[in-house]
Amino acid sequence: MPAWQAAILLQSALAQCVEKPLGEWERREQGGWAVRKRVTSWTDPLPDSMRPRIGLSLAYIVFYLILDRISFIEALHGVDITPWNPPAGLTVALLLVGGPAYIPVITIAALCSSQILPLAPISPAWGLATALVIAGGYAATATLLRQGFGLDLGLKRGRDMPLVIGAAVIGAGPVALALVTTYATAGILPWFDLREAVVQYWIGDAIGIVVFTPAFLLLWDFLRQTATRSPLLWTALAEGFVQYASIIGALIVIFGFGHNRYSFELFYLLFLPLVWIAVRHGLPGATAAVFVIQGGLIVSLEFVDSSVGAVRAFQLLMFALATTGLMLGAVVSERHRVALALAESQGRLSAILNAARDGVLTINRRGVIESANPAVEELFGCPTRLLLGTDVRNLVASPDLLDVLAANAAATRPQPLRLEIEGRREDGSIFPIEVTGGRFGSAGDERYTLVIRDITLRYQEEARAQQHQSEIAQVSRLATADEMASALAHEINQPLMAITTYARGCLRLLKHATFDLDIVREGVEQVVMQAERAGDIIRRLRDFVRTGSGRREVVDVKALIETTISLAKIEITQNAIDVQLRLAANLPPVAVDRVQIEQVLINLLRNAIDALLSSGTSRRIIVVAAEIANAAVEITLSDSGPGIADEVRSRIFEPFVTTKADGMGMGLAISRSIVEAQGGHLRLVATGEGGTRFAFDLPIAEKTFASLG
Amino acid sequence: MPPLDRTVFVIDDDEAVRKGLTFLLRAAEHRVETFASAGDFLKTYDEQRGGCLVLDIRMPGMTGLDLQHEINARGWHIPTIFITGHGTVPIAIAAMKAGAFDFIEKPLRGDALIETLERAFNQDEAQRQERVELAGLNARAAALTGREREILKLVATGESNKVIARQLGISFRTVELHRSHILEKMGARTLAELIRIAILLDQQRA
Repeated sequence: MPAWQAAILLQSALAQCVEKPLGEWERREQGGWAVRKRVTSWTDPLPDSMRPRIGLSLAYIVFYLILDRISFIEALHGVDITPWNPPAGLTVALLLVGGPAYIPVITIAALCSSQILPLAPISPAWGLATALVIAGGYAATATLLRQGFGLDLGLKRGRDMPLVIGAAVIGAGPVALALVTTYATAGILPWFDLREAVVQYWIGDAIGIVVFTPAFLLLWDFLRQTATRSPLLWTALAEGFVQYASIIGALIVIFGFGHNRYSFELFYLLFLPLVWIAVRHGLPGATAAVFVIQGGLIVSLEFVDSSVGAVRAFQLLMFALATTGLMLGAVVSERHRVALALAESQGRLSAILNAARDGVLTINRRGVIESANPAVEELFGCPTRLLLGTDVRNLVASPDLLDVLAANAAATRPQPLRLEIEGRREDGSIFPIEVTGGRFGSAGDERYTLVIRDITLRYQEEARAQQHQSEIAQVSRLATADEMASALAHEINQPLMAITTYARGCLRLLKHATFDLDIVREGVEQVVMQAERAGDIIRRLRDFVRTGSGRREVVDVKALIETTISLAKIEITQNAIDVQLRLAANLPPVAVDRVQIEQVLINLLRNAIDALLSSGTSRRIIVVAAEIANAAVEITLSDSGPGIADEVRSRIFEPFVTTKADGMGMGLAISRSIVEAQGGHLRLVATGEGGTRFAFDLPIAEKTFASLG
Repeated sequence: MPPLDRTVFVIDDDEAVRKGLTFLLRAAEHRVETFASAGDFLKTYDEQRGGCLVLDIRMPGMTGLDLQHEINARGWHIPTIFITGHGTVPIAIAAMKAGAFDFIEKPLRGDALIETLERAFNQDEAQRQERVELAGLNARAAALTGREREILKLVATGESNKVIARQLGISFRTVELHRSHILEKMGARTLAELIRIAILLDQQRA
């Protein structure tokens, strides 16, 4: 390849390096050989992937020179015809990985080496010639391996390793011959030594390739796989390279001019790379750096002054350096670990909050929203960022929310706070929510977390369940009615049947001119008897209805009232009615038909709710009270409604009298007969502007009453 | 021909109803026997006796419907009139399907029961008579020889003696002889009567 083309390639690679950030530049480089071999002509404009990578190229050159320097022993005739030649392994590896595009880079490296290392002077022209021999020869070997034999760069197949060894032995031969011939032609090497030189070079390169090429290929494979997962690795590697280069640089500055008095003063230069590494890589980095510095120090002293005094003095300095670096590394590692743990914890928390379907808010003691999760946005239909800094009471219809939270937090044994209140969306619509609250933060700077759940569905469920229940009750009532009607029909039909048969029999007898009067009389007597029997049946039935089923049970008044109120819970909640219970302490249980009394209570409660709603008043209070009066439990139910109109007040307990547009007028009539059947009395105590109050009393269960007395 | 037997068998668990029905039916000059339960009736009833059954559907123990099924199972033919206080369509359908003669609602309206009874008796008697006649015919048919039975079948389908003779491969004269034997054995006076008898027997087999 002409030198000018190599120069163009190098120039374009450099230009690209300047243009693009390293990370992105490296990441695109996954194409490998398969992409590169599509280029058929060197004169075509090179695609990006074809151009040598500058980082790789520089690393190659540096390693090449280092390896060449290290292996420069027993050199024949002062040129690098050495018993082993690691740069050859490096070169083959590079060509396998990067392809012929790296020929210029290899040429440069070999040229540099030829101008630096050999003890005998070589003119740049001859140096270039040898460099081109090396680059060209191994490029041919690598191309053959890669394209001719399809070598797998990860050496994953059984035949890959023998291939490399074979290529090393066979490929190094021609290169050795050509190179040694070149040296001989240049007059650097006497022709009579040609054979020995060729053999030594051949063996040296072959060993170098066998030993180093697989190692470099595996390293490359590892780096590439790691880099695929983390593109930043390349940046880290570059940084590491510069860091360790700066250690070597510092050592060169310190000892480069031999051991003199400046060596001690300059020693502190080593702190710079060590501190840098420790800060960047923590304890592992610092440990490695200390190890390298120590090694470099010993090697350097070996070169300049290995006297006991010098070594001891430098080791003391080294002790201080190592201590500083390791301590710093430990602190950095610790900080890093804490940061990771914190980030993980934050990540977990935010993942939970982001995924949660309940709204989660934090507020300060004044009710200002400080944070909110995405569910809040969904619940209230308002972007979270607009909510931050606003008062939580815009969302939650509970003016005393903060007081409740504070009171709960101040309690000696705070319970988890749970409220069922209303929420207001951005569009003004109201929906039921369940709010649970907790406190955090220090005293005087209390903050609260609120977890908000939309319970519309649950309310609907409850309403549905309640409706279902009432439907069941209705159906069972109908079924019972049907059965009762059937039984009743049979009961009454029997005497009626007898009556009609007797009466018709009599009529038949009377048709005849002569008839037996006794028989007719008997028939008529039977008619009367059976008619009386029918009357008895009806009387019995009326008694049955009046006394109800007569099934009395011992019922706890408080439970009775609470059950009833829970039955009307939806109406109460939806209409924001304040139902207050005022139950005397130690109420004795009553002996009543529980279901029937519940009916009475719910009837009175519904009347009260209807009264409150019809008035349109905002003051909606119902008070249910129970106390002992006249050896019975008296239950009163008062509302803050408008009272009962005068014209119906006196007839309110009569059937078919109602104040409601769609009322049947049966509720109070039935309620009164139920209460009376249980031995009590239902009465209207008061009605008017201040509201209406009904009262009824229930008999105390005997046993308990006796035990009380 | 057996003597007319028009007894009303009343089954009802309610004594007043039993007595009332007895009173009415006796006034209408019917013989009445009463039973407090279906079981009592089944124990004493003789299937040779004609008449009619009046029973309540709703009774403790065996219901009226159960009894009807039992009567069917025993192969009795006495007609049944159901009386019910809560007549519903499904019950009525079930009773009629089980073979009830009629279905009357409690309490009785007009003379419905008496009129229905009259119809039931008439049907019972007609059926009885038919059964008796059929029994006689069956006995007579049993006396026929194989060849006579063969010829009777062909006669019933309306074939002439000539055709019959050709079909059976016997002489016209022999067919005529057989026919006169058949008429004699079956107690028929005319050919038309014989054909009616043949059809009756055929129906019974079906």
